[in-house]
Amino acid sequence: MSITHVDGAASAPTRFTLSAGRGNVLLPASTAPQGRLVGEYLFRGHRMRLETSGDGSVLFPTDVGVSLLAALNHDAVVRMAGKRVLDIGCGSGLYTVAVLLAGAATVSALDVNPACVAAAIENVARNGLDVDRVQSLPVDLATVTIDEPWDLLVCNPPHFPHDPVYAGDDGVQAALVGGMDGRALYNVLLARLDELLAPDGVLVLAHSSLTDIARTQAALTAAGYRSRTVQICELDIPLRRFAEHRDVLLAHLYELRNQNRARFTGLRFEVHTLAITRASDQEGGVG
Amino acid sequence: MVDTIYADVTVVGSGLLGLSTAFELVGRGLTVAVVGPRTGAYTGQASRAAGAMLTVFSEVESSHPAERVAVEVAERLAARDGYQAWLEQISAASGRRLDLIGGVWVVANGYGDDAVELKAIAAAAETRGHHADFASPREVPGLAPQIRAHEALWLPYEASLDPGAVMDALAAVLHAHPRCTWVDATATGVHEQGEHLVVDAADGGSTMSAHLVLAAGAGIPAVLAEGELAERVDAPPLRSGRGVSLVVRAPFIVPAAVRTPNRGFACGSHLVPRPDGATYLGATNRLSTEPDYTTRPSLDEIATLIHDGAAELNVGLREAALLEVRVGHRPVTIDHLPVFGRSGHPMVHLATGTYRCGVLLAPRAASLVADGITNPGSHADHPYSPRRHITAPALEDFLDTAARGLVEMICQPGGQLPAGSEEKLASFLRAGLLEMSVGSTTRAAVVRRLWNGTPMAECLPLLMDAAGRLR
Repeated sequence: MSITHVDGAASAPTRFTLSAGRGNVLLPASTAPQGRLVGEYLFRGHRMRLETSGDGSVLFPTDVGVSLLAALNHDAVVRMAGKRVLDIGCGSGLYTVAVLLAGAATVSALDVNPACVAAAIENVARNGLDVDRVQSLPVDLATVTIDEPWDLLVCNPPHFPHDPVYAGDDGVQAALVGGMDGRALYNVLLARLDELLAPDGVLVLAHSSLTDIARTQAALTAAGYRSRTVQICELDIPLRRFAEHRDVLLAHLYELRNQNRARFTGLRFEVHTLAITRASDQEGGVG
Repeated sequence: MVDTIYADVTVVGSGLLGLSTAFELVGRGLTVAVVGPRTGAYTGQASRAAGAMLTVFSEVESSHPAERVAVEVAERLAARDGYQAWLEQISAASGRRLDLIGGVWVVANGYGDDAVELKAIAAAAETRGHHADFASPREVPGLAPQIRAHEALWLPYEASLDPGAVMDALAAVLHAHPRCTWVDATATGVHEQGEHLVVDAADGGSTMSAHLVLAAGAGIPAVLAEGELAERVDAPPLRSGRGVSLVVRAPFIVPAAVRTPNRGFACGSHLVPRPDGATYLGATNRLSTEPDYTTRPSLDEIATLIHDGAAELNVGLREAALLEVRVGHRPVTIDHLPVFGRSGHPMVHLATGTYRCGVLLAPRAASLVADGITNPGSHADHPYSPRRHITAPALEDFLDTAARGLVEMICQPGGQLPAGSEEKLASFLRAGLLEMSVGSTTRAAVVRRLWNGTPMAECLPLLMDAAGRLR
């Protein structure tokens, strides 16, 4: 599907496929002392380095999250220089570091898990960037106080449906599980988008095919937004520590898929990188 | 190069259990890859060689513990209760007519304890509110045995069908189904790649899926091989009862299936009408510890079949025109109960071990296995769960029934030993087996190794054969 650009030119999404049976293809993780996980990524010409503790408090970026950066690498329409950015669910700080390297003025690193916000700031420092350009927001998006809306929102929401059998209550779970249908954060984001997004602002969203892309697009259209599919990446569902419970996880997904609310086959699914703007705006100041 | 096929579930095996499971899964909205021959001779496939009687009660044997009878009859009843509706579902999907032929006759003659067996079968039916009507053998259409039949039992709730017709209909539905892909080749191996289960096929193709259903019967051990995945799956030991059957044009009419009770280590003789007017004659049962699907039926197997069929069911069989000879391997476990559902690996499921009741139990297996996929954790305590504990019986505990069974097998139906010598021979065999079960001779060691590998009644003819060959 191609979405008509604001200037009338059709732009087809980039498609790419990551091979099956492998994780962390885009950002391979190597193990550092004390079980820490380390990875490097080249974003818009800047080499960045990410580290997490590897103890489960902060999720090391999966290919789902990194695919959004890959989309922005192939698509220069979204501008970052001088922008005020909100990183929603900042995790290890993958996007916070990336957008700062690409020239963002400031980043508000928001995560419901305070360990993530701390990890994001550590990674900012680790990449030689000024931590004063980062505002720490260890809060829930649903309750965050908005003083001034942001020019650029980046978000890779949790997308797995909840089940009590997962039992864990750590950072990894918070990063991956989004309520009964996996859409919890998507729904909050849609509900608060008007408040969060500055005039001419852009939301760049890594939208999982497990969480009903069509529903989000319909909600956006109804609310006066336009969504452009920048990239479609086909890859394995990143099961990680849910591997032991993947029978339960998949059973929930089968139900959602039977209701046309999830799309996947076997363990293969898609992540669509969407660039969302107000229908009245021109995306990313193009033109 | 052949592409990799992605699916929610790969079903290995294209017999009736595999196809019925695939049919159930696509019906639940899942995408399925079937790996197994869709065309060809189906040599060794139990489903194609089956008589296909829906034997809810007539598989009961008087020597079976009450607990086992309760479990097995309940499961077979559940399958039978839904069978007509299941066939109608396949009919509707395929546009093909699938008929059940109602009722099965069980016939007793002087062989073994047939009268006791008939009582046990009748009791199993009646305690569950189903008819079991004793009748004179003269009332059984198509029965004209060489040895006199004493008694007959009519089981109206049992039935028979043509398994080939059901398989062809299922194959047509699945082949055309948008959520099903069929790899028309034998599976050669399975392994894990990341969280995917990979199945390699003989044609060079492969599938990658979240779930794997192993429904390749006696072929499962070869596909699963040894290694980490096999250890995790921890499938109960699978053996097979090799069976040879004939399809004939008989000079008499059999309107409903006629069978003897199960016999010693075999499954008795049975004649089953086919909708096209042909008659099925089954079946031999010889235990294979390592089944070879390519071995063709031997003349001895065919001779045994004809001998027993003429002796116990209808002498006219000798004038019948031979249409087909079939051979199949019925998958069986040490405890003789099927294995349906999740294995030791949460994503690997088994649908096998149905032995003589595969055709009847196919829809039951399909629903139990599918439940394990769409509703994980369901049926974890089911008596057919692959994770159940199976205890291997000791040879000593088998000696009494085993020795008598061996004598009956040697005599064959209709055969006679001089009066009193049957008991003598049985006690002689009992003593010999006992010596070998504890002795330190080479022969004893061989017999024990054989028994420990396959500790089940059907192993006894193999023991006798092995002990007899050793010098």
